[in-house]
Amino acid sequence: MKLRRQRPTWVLVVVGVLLLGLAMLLLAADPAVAFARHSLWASSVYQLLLVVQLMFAAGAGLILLTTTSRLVGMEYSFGTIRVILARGTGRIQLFLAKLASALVLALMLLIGYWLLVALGTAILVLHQAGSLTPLTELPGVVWVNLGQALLSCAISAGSCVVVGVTISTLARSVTGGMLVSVLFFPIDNALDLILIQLHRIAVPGPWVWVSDFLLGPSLNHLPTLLTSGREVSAGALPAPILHFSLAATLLVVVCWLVTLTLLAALALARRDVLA
Amino acid sequence: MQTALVQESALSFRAVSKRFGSRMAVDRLDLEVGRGEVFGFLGPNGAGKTTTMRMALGLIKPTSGCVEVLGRDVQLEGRRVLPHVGPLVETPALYPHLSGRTNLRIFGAELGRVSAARIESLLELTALDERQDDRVSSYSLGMRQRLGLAVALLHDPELLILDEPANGLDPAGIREIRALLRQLRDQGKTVFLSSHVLGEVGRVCDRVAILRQGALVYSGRVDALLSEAGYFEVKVAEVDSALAWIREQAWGRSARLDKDGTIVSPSPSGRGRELNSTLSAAGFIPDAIGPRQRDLEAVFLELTEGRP
Repeated sequence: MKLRRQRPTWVLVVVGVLLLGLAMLLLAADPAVAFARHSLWASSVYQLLLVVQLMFAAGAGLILLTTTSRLVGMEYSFGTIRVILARGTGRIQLFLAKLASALVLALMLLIGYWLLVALGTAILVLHQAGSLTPLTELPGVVWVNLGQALLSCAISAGSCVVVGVTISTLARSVTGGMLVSVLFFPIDNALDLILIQLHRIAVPGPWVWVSDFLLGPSLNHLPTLLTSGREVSAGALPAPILHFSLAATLLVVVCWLVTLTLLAALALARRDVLA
Repeated sequence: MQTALVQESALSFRAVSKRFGSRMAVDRLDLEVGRGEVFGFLGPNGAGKTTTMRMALGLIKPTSGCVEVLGRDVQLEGRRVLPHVGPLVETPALYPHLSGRTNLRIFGAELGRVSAARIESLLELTALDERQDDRVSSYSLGMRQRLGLAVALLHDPELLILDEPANGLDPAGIREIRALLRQLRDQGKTVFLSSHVLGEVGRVCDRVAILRQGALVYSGRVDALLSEAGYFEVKVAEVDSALAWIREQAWGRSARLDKDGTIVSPSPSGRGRELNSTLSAAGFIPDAIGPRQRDLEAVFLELTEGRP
């Protein structure tokens, strides 16, 4: 309710839906998306998936980072954290409750987004092919890849939630939390781009490895790893230089999330509440 | 400094200190608040009142010492004991984009056992029932203060820790808060409140503590603080000659003239009756004699700033 009654929440949702609608219209005009031709059914789905997945990574990431930052930061900015804690709510309990609420929010966003994508795709297919046959007769592997893409989106959304909640807990304000968490991924993606350039001009150094330990690039590369290199990679986003295996990349992501969670929980448990 | 022995403590500070960097905010504070009393906590800005209250609510960890709330160490058993405490710390902490009623519902839901009827009665008690559906951002400071008080009272707490509850209220609002505090005392609640409205503290509190630069300078009954034991205020026509005569007496050397022309004098026997008869016998017929009562503000300034 705290977020539902805030205008920015609905502005972000409306903008997100409009952008998705616009993307579907542009995809309808894309020659690579041609459901009328039997031979292009699968490639059309992959082309569609590439775009909607990229949109989710950027758009939903932004929505989740700002919303979860507000969810946590508002308690500090309004001072309500002192009322909640002064009533005997445990600090770790509060942190976990916020994390759980934010994860539920991410799940709702994920489900809502993919339902809209499914609806848009169905309309697009009906418009181009006159029936839903191109979808119902897709090869099994495409559905498997779709599930893998969905999984990578879920991991990406979960990561955004953890980043948003933990950074806001550390920053202890809406403005600070939102600013740092929104800048988190652009900064580590930019760092990855610099490392890639250094690697290209053959400057020797440890950055070859550093690149693989960054959270953003690891998440960017996850769809490719999950689908064993099929066409659902979000290729427009920077990826690690050396490309760890799927297990190693997942381990990097988990390590980041666990470290951030521990840092935030520890800070909340130990620091005085002066809000 | 006077301290009273309290049999059963609702709140006790045992050698509590809090240091922020090089600044000692609270210095070895020892204080007991008995169950069922309204206890005033006074001190100038920056004296450490809010820090002390935050320590009592488990929001700030003491550097040393121990704070016990309802008989339990708040740092160790906060989750067990704090649900019985109603806090109002500094400005009321509320969600400004939500209505007064929704704020109460949200805080009530976090406590998990607040009925709709309780929310209704609190809105009525704090005179917010007519504006309950308006956003808090449109409330005046006084209304926010009253809503903050309603939040503190949501779960019918045993102990209320209120930081400046009369802040921002108009005279009528202050009177309502005073009546509410008395009502709470009559219900057996303990109230620990800080205030800079000294007159209000004098009217509602049984005992007070005064803090100066983090150190306790007084703790005891309000009437004991205000009365200047053994001294009387004498109104007499021939002020100068009467004062001179009194000062010549062995018992009257400490007599002095107050700003308003009243003689402040001890009595030969410690009772006003003897002072009256002695002065009359000397030819100074008093217009009035009464026990010396000091103004709380003057005492406060004397204790916190060292003014005479």
